[in-house]
Amino acid sequence: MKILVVDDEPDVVESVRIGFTLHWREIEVLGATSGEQALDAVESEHPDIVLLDIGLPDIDGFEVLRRIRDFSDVPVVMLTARDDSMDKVKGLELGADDYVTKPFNHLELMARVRAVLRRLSMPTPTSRAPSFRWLDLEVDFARQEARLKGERLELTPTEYKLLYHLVRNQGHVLQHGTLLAKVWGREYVDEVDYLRVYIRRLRDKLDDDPDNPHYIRTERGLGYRFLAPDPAR
Amino acid sequence: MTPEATQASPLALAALAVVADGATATELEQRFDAAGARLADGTAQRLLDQLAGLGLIRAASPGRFVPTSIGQRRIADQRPLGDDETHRLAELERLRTDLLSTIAHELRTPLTAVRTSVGLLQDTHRAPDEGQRQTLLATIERNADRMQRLVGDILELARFRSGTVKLQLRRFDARRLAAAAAESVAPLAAAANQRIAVDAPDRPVWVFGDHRRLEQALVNLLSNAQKYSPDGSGIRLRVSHAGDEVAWSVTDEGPGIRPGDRARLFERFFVGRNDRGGGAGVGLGLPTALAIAQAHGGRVEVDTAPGSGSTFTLAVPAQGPEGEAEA
Repeated sequence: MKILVVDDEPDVVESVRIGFTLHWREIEVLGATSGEQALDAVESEHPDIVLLDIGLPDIDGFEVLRRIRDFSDVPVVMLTARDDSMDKVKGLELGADDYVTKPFNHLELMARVRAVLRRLSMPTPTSRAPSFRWLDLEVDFARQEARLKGERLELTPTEYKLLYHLVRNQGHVLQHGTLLAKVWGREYVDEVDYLRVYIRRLRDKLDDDPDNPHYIRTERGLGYRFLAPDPAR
Repeated sequence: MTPEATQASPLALAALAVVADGATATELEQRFDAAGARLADGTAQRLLDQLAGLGLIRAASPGRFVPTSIGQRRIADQRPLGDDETHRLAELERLRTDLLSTIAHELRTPLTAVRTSVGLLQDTHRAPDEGQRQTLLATIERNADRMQRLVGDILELARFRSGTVKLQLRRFDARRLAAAAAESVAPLAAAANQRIAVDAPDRPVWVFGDHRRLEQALVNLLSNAQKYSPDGSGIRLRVSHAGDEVAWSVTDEGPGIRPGDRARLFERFFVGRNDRGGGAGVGLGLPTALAIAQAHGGRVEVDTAPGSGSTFTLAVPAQGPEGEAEA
């Protein structure tokens, strides 16, 4: 297991390093104190997960994340001293997997990292149920893929999981907490921002006009509902 | 901030009076409507954004605005806002927002190092070994120092600005102050292979001033030079005496200061772009140095050009502030 910690403050890198070394067996902690160093390390060292500070001296952490995503799907947890929702949403939209606000302690951080790794290693839900077809969408549960107008959709594992649970519960409202627990894990039941970002991403892929979604309806204050096919059709 | 937000229109001021008891954009529209003045779509929100940009109102809860203390005074005054005042308010509001986010960042990062280290030391389940304990304790001490310094600097600067600082004046040799300041920055310079050369006259250069605070001002100038200069470069500290004035000049081989940054150098929490990264400043050093110089009746001057280094000069009257030298 190899983890890359990116923070311009060497003391933060060092204390995080000691924490992981004590708690996890066979872990290698790499440190970087600038965006350039971080990009080099991701490219040459292939870490299993990256903890990335937003406030770096040379390149903004968001920009580092964008560049990482050009060539790597490594899980990224953003670290930040600003706790506003805009930053969180921006990070998630750029492809971050999670977000931890400073000041944190080592137990909170490790719990977050474990949750991200567990989520990404969870098997994609599969089912022997027949494929679901409605309008232009087809979800093949056995092959774990979705097609729109016959074309295979490029979905990330998280996007597929979210679509899977919505479709399997078609016609029923899935509450925010329920969806978050099913897709992200129980620690995430209050992270409604995560859900909003991913629902938006799904709609971008499913609908020509994501502002007038055909498939996933927002149930204000409650959750989301995958619209049920009309039985008469 | 948009240019629009820096000009408070008469309409915005009418809106301010309407918001006196707190209002949302919809309520604002309704109250204008009731008074026979229909607002175009989106105008109510724009007026609220404008007033918030001037620090005259703030959101008490999402979407609901109330007047700030400045806003309340303004409502009581019933005076129109002049252009100058509008600009000043907009600038103040921008500084206040920047200041809060900078303080948040500057405190949260050392706080993270402290919390993580304390957590590890308390963790009996997976206790750190002796070497790790020492590292963690040193981390806590270093970061506690850093937070203490930051809080101290903010308070000191606030005291200077409110004019409540009492200088501790005495006569001393400006060359010795230069040597002491150079010595305290030397470890940081050495770590970056930089040399600090002190260039001073052979004879004592007497000055009447607050030794501790002038040393602090000079240390601030030297650490700036250190932070903004490349590894292995030289920093020159020159002591001089001309007329009634004693001056310490710090010259670096850094990248110089961009014209756009120059005007903002003495602004609190302004940090220039040419930083080396790692241990970058907080942006209190130069404003503090300037406040100390001014309290002595002196000044801080900058001579710089992009690409050819910078010289910062701290100059004070040799006889002390307003001729306070001993008889």
